[in-house]
Amino acid sequence: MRRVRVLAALAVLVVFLFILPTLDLPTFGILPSSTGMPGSLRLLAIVVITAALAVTFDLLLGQTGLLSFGHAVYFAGGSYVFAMMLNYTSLSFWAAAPLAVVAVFAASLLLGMVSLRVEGLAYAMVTLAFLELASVMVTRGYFGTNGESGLRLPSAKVPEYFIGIRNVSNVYSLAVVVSVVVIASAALLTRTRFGLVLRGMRDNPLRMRVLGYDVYWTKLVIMGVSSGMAAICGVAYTIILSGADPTTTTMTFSLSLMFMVVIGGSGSVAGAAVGGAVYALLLQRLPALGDSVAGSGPAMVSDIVREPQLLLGVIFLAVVFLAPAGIRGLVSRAGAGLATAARNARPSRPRADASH
Amino acid sequence: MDTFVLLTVAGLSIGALYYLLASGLSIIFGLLDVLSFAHGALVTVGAYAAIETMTRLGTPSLLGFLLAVLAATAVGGLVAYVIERLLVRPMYSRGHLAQLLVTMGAALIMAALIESVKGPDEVHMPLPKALEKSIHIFGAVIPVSMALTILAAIALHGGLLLFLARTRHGLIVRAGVDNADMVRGLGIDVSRSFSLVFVLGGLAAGLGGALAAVYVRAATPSLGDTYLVYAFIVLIIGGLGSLRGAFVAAAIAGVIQQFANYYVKAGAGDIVVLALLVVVLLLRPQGLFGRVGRSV
Repeated sequence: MRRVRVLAALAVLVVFLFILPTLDLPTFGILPSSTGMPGSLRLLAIVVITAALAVTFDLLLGQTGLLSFGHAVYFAGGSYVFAMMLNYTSLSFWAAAPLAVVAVFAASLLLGMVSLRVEGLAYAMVTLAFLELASVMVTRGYFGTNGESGLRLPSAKVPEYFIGIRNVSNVYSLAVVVSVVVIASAALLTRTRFGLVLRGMRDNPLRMRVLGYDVYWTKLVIMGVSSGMAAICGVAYTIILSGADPTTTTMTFSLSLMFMVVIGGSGSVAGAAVGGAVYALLLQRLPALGDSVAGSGPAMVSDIVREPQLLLGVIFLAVVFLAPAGIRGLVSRAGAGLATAARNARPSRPRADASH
Repeated sequence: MDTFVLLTVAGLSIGALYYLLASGLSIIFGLLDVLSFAHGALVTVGAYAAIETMTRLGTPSLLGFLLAVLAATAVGGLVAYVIERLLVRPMYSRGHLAQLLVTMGAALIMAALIESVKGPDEVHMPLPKALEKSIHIFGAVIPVSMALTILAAIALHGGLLLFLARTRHGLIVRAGVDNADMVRGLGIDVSRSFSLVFVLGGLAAGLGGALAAVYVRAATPSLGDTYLVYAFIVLIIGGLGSLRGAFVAAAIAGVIQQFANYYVKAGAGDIVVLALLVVVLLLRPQGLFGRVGRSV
């Protein structure tokens, strides 16, 4: 029964996301304008893609317990390979998109074969080294990555229905489709037997090894799957921005992925999706918020809001110390609190009657 | 020949900077099983402390420079102490992710605070005349600052080895690296050793910051980030938890980086160092000096 209700709620949410462009709801300053306007739709497209990206990372960090700093490489990889294929080859838009994903999937398996030779913190350090490599290649402009200014998509090759301010709602719809497909596949994956094996690897790799599971291959498969999904998100992100963004290869971006999963609640698909969405929204809207606070509030507050890294750091510490299970933990704790309150309220009446 | 010598010395001096950071991370990792992301920011803090001291003292002098180095080292140790007591200590029982998150949180906050006080742009490091000079070795012109960095790393390495071999705390640290549970079981208060090791790492990082500021003649709020990544690479190549491994790997990484940058293309050095990492992982995943079977 509960499952049916959850599915129904999710279906309503998906339908709501799809018809949002036609609704034009007021947003009370959370978005730059009402929901039907191009600025808001573009921002929402970024938000839903970031939510999907956070879910793909949760497959590694939350489900399998793989502390990877390199996940951003595959997101940026999808983005850049797609942009480079359109810029430097004669491939068409719809041919380049799947090819870019396949290329990144293959690359992730190769890098996985190397990095998975070590475990735990050593794995984290090796993946960080790969991130550094990607960062060097992009900032120095190797292989036509065009350096700090990013690589724009050639507009002649982008289909007309994705170009211009009039067609933002099409881009938004594409983002919602990609996001829903990625998140739904990840959610289904965690419910399979393989998903169970992944959580076993996270909780007790030694025991899984004794039980006869191949830890290395399982980790390699999930690395490939989640990297492929991240590449899909990367391609969609490039279409939204109409170009590849060099900041996706920075260490800060990689940290922000970890941040999304942790604020949402590690090990839960829904938690990661919420974390990703919240983070993307904060990142896009904080500067504007800072400007509006700057005039009125104390200088300290606007300084903090303007310095997103400071806020990020403070929230990191707050989550670890105060809410280790993230937003999801807070929600379920609040839910449990309500339930106990309700349970306590009910039997108290007959007892009160009996005493009188 | 002189180019060869100069490149070698330049490589060793950048390797020395990697080692100043990696040595602290290595003993912290060995004893505490914690990977500290805050140590990159400690390098930055040290660099800014050195620059601040130099500018406050007016005309750059050798004495002022020594004071600046001392200040940077002290600030690095002090900040490390605060981070360990307030943030890392409650996390020892919480697993790697929580430890990574608090040290990253600390790193982000430190970088942001530096940026809001000093601005995002480069801050220049004033140097005394004596350090701007060069010395001649085998026909090559070697800047004094490079030689200084290498000497500092060698001195630190010797000092750490002596500390580990000859002092009681060193004994506890070595025993803790082998089996921390056993040391606790013997009734030894390891938490003091934990603080000590973290502060030692902080002192080395602060010193590294001052010397990094000398090396690049300036500092930015993200100065320590690159060094942190290379310190990690050096740790893996040398073998996690092995100080000697870190020392050798830092020298190798620095030298091949300089040679590749000079003979191939600027930036090729980064790729060559990563290629070395990949080769080591494929052939010897425990690192050059690492032991097989040590849980990582």
